[in-house]
Amino acid sequence: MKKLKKRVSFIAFLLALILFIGAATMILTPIRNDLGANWGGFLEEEPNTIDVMFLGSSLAYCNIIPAVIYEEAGLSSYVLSGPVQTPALTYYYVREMYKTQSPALICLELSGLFYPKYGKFNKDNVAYMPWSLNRLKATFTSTERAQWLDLLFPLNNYHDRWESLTPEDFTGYTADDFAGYTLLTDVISPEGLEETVREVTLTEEEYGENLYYLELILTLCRENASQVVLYSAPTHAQYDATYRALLEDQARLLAQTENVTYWDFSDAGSIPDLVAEWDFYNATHLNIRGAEKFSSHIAGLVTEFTVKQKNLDSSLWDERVQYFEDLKKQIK
Amino acid sequence: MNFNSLQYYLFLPLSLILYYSVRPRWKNSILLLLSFGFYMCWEPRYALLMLTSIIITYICGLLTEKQAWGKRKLWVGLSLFLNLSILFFYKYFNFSATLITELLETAGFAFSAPSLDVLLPVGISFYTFQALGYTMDVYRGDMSAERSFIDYALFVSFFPQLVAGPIERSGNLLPQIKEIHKFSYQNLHEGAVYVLWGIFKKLVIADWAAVLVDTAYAAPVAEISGLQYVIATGAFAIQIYCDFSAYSDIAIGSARMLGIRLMKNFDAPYLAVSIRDFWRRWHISLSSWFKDYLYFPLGGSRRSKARTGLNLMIVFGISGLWHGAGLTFVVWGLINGLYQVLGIILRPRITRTRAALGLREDGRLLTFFRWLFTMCLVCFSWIFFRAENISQALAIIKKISAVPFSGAAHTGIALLGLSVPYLIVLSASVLLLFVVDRLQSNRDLAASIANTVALRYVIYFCLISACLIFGYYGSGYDPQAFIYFQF
Repeated sequence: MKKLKKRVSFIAFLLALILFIGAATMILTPIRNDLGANWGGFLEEEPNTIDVMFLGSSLAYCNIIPAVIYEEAGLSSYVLSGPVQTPALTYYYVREMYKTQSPALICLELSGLFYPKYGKFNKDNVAYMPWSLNRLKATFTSTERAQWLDLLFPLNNYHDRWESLTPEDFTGYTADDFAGYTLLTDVISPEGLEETVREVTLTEEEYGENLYYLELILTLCRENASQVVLYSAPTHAQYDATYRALLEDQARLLAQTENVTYWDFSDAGSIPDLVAEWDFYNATHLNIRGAEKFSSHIAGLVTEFTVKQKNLDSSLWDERVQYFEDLKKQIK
Repeated sequence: MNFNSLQYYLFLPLSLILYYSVRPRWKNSILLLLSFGFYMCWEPRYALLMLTSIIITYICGLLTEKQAWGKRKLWVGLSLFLNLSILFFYKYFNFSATLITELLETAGFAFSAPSLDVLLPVGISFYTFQALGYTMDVYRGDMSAERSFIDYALFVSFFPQLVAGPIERSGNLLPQIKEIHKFSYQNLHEGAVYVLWGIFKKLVIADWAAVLVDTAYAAPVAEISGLQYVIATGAFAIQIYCDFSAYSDIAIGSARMLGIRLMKNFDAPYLAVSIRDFWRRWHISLSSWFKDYLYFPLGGSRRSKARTGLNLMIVFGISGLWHGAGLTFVVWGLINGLYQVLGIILRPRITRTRAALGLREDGRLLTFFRWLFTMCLVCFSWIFFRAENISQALAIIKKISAVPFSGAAHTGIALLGLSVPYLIVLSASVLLLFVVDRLQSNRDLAASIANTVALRYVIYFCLISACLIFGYYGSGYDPQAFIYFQF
């Protein structure tokens, strides 16, 4: 009886500790609603209600407004991307995404092909993923060893947030009004306008690895019966000729062999009414005006694909459209 | 490998598993390998230095007992000379060279003594004194010379107490090393209580108090007010106690898990009501070492008052020097020696005055004032211990003693780098510290807690949770080394 009491006490202690660590991790990990890696909001979407998924880097979450796409094309969409996100991380994002959604069309923004393996935001991109095998694999393949402790034991990173907790930390996530879009309102500065060349710093080996994961993404999409579009986002600063050629060649090769579509919007002039001086936030990202124009253009293109509308919550999407309209009025 | 590192949290359970898995005759060998492995995590080559000290004292112990060549004093003298020479070379050579240079320059001689580019081997002050204590025990006949090299080497290098004590006595530790220790849940739980309490003191109290201290003591004196220095010095008193006693607790707890009982190193020192009382409770292993191996051989208190006073000043001066190769440490030691001497001189007068006033020695008000006065004296001496140099210490004292606290008194604690929530946590933790100290005075609190199943798990849960949320660790934090590692 005494032994049983000791064993029960020990198990109760372990359980209590594990529950405490779990609860503390949930509460102390900051809420993330913008700037990508916004898994919390994404997982609040009803399963199998998203028609089009946008993935990639910040050039996806800053440039695509799902409310505009819904208003113009009647299709639900979501932006699930991360800052400076490599194809390796996007691959694990896609794997995780398929657990709750089955989009008919996936639009993959391609700047990730030129990102180095260990970008400075990789840790954040993984930190907000739900706990799963995909998160673990992303941790060990796409982040540096020094970051593993923070990712496997988030209290190591966030335990001191206890003194700045807000009620939102306790209530958790709600459905994202922006469906993954990040609002940028500023207009590009004169210095930004002078920036015309995009820097690329990666090795041949890293580029090869990025291509490898891109192939894996395409295979995964095929297995899940999703059509794929690869696209280059409109930017003011452009890659130099070498990288530009590399990107175009690769995209065209994939389009031919994998039966995907490639949209090259890298020349900002290809988007109707897009004006560099007014519609860019900086040399690479669009502000809300530019994103609205770009999203409207995209909306026209996605309807060319056979995308069966999911059983979506139209009231939610109507709210999102209204929210965006109200926001535009405030900004003006 | 610090006690407050992830590596140690993995090393300790692995050590326990290994130790209790092997056959009894291999246990000490395994423990010895683990201890050397633990030490080599800092600087592998200094393990050779420790091995040298072990070999010297082992051989000298045997030769002393055998009275080889008809000599006893020769071998103990040789052991003392060689070990203290090594200690002097690594710890005091540069300090001595600088002191000689400055003295000669003051006397008008231009001379620059050479300095050496050597790292202070971690724990050298501790294991050297432990080994020398053994040598003297053998010389006095208090202890038989250890025949087994493995057992003796383990006595010197036993990893829980190797780097920062407690400085164990051969009479306590060696016999335990020779015993066979079977796994015991009681020992495991008692050890866990000590280890967790130590980690709590280090991560939640000492390292946060250090923020207050470092902010004040690192800044130019002109930028810090007298009030801020008072707060920072009080915080340093808390920091050094919690930091050092935390190490001792983790050491005692780790050893307890292995079935070995190390000596108590602190006994609620900040509940002391006199300086003499304080030194019975603070760093007990070192003060008792100095008492037995230096103070008593000098004559102790058996001679005249003047000689007793001199003996005290010598012991405390050397104790200060033991802590660090710097004048501030020597001055700190001498101040405490002076306190003791003044205590001896004034005690009869104080007793008469108390009797004349009709005050009971154990009266609450008197006890409170005695405690407060003792704390003020102790904190005053800590200024020298913490300051970078004598000039800074004197400047701080001048700032504190200015009336009414020179500088921006109203800013006080706010500018010392700690937010209000953390100040509240720190204050509550210090209050808890005093309560626990009071409870564990004259009682083995860890054993009492370990015996009560539900209570011990509640304590484990509370301590672990507190460390996880309030601890000074993680990304963006610079792990604070234990203060006594530098000695």
